[in-house]
Amino acid sequence: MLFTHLLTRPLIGAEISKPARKYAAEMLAELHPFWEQQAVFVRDDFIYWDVLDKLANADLITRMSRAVSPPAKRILVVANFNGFLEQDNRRSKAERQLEELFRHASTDGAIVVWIEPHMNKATTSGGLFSGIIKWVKEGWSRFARVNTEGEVSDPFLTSECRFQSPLTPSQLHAVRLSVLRLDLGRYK
Amino acid sequence: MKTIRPGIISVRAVNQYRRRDVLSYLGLRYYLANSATLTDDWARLVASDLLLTRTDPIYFGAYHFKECKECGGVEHRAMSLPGPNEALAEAALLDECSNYPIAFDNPPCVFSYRLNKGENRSGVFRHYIEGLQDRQRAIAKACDDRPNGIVLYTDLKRFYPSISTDVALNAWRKQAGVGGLPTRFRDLGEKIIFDHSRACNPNDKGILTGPMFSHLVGNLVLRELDEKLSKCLPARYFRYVDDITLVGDEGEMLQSLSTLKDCFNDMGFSLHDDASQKNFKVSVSEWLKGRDDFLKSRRPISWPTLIGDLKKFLFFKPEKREELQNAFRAEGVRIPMRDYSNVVCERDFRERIRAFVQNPWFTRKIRGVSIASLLSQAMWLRNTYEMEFSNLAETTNALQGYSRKRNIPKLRYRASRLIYLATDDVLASLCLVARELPELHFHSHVMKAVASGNIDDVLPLGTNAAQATAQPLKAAGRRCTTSIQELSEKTEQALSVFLLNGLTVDRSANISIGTSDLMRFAVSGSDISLMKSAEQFIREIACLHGLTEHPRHSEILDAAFDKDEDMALDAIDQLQGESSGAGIY
Repeated sequence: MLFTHLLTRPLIGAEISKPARKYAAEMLAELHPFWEQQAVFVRDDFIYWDVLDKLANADLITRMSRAVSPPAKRILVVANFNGFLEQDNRRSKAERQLEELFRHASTDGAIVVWIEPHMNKATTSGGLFSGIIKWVKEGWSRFARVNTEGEVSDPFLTSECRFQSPLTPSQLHAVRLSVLRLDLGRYK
Repeated sequence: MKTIRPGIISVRAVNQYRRRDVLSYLGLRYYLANSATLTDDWARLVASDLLLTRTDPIYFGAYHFKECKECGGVEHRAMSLPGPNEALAEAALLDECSNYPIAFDNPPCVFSYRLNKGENRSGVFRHYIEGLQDRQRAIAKACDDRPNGIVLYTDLKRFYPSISTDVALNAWRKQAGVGGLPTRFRDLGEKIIFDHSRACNPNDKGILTGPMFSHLVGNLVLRELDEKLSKCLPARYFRYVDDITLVGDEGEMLQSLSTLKDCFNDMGFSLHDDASQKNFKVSVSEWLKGRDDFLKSRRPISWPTLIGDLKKFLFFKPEKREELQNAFRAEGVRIPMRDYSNVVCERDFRERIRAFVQNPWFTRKIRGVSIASLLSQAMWLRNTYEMEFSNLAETTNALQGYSRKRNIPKLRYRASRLIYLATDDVLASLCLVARELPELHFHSHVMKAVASGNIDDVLPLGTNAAQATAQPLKAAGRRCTTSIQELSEKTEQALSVFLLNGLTVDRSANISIGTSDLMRFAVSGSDISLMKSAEQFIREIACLHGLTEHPRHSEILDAAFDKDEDMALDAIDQLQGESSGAGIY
């Protein structure tokens, strides 16, 4: 391995489920030695976060602000949220908290990558992504915008690949994703 | 394989820091080994962004030989070497400043650290010798106007460490405002000044000695005062870094000196005492005898012609490098041979050469340079310098005052070149001659070490002395020895420099080579623990080096970075900071 630039980054994992946080921490621990060989040093920190709880949201924002000073470029990865948000009107209840989180994260050059399974609940009109895009365009436009730069004209993209499951090696399983990118910053 | 030619900013940074310290240079070379970093856009956008958003300052504290104390010991200069990313971001910042001459060009009375401009890749600043030559011309003109006057030299004590953070920030903000510097670069300058204040010694006021940006800050801080003094003093006023020269008659001089002291004291600087050896006076008529001391040699064979031809040869016939090295070694010549084989693979280079080879003048010029012609030039220079050095040393021994001062740079010039040219036996005898002159302390130790391979006397001098010795020893294919039984921080750094150069150092079993991170990096290259070192500079360069079976330092030092990279000759360049007259022909 040659020519590696030193990269030291904090990673804050925010998740409501305790077992999920534990799995994530264990998986990252296994990855650390490989990253370090590439001069990538990650300080991970997994915390409880319920998007519907204003205080848990405030804790996450505080943690995020303290993680790096001066504020560096941030990337917020939001994943696999539609199952939770598309029930019991939770999307609407989460709006304030998500707005607050994204607004605090909106330093120059920050981005949000929101990944969901390619399912109707996420991608159809009226689904999760169209709801997020509506919030961005109508209420969050001073600090967020949907990225449609370059050859990307769609508000979100979809992708599909197949993988060999270790449980059933004879079969290929498909994984289909849809990805929305938001740029954060200060916009007029 | 075709490769991309480095951008102007990266070549300038490499050339500038090569003359400063080998560790800075190596760090930059490892950084720039990634082709994405070679572009000017990377330096301006990415490197500057990484610097603006970093949390901790990254500087390596190296010890350089400064001068001999009157009591006999050695005084070191504490250098703070910026990490590779900062060195590149700093070069981008200084390049940007060069676009605003109203704000950042020196006033006419200041000759040091003038920003390079346009396509010139020789360094972030114009070569120091140009400034010294211009200062000499300006003083000569002032002397012509006052034939019965006197010339007075004085200098400021501890110039850079005496600049406080507030003074530096005010000067920077003011000139950035005058020029209309873009906010991003204005912030970058402020960030560097702020980081200097965090990294500086508690006894110092804020600005570090070592980073290139400090030189610009130094000039900006004194800018108003330079302009005022050059207008209001009765004597003529000239400045080169911290060296101040006044030209006037006795009365003008007394009044000027008093004003000068008051003005500098008000700004927090102090001049050396009247009794200090740093201050001296000479009549204009005496001074004018040396007015041409800085003129370039008009000899058909000179050091610049030899080095120029050597570079041309290696450049156009890289496959003959080993043959040339062996021929030089057989004659006892220790000039290092850079490897240009990577450079000639650059697409840009091949296209330009294709156009050049159609020019008959060009092909004639190249054909005229051969191993035999290079050896012949080297032998002629060896004989000439040996004779001149011996004669000058003999006469200098009996001289005092200005006549002696004029001879010292001429002696140093020849001594540093003889380190590359003279045979071991001759160099050993010349070092005894040099030892008789206290002003040649540094040279005599380097000469002795290069002639004998024993580096005991060089190790305590600092990393600049170590590199000045290591490079010719490596070119000679020599092993070195040391009988030192215990390493201090300074000798450990110096020993690391020999190891970074790939030299084998026979040493006592008492000396462990794993005692410091720098030494481990020098011996083994990188490993995971060095990539996590608490010493941030070592951590950065260890990561840039990457995990390899063997260290790559020696290979990197041998390989040229770009066609416009200077042929670094450390026994000459490393003296730049120690003697402002190092370039006298």
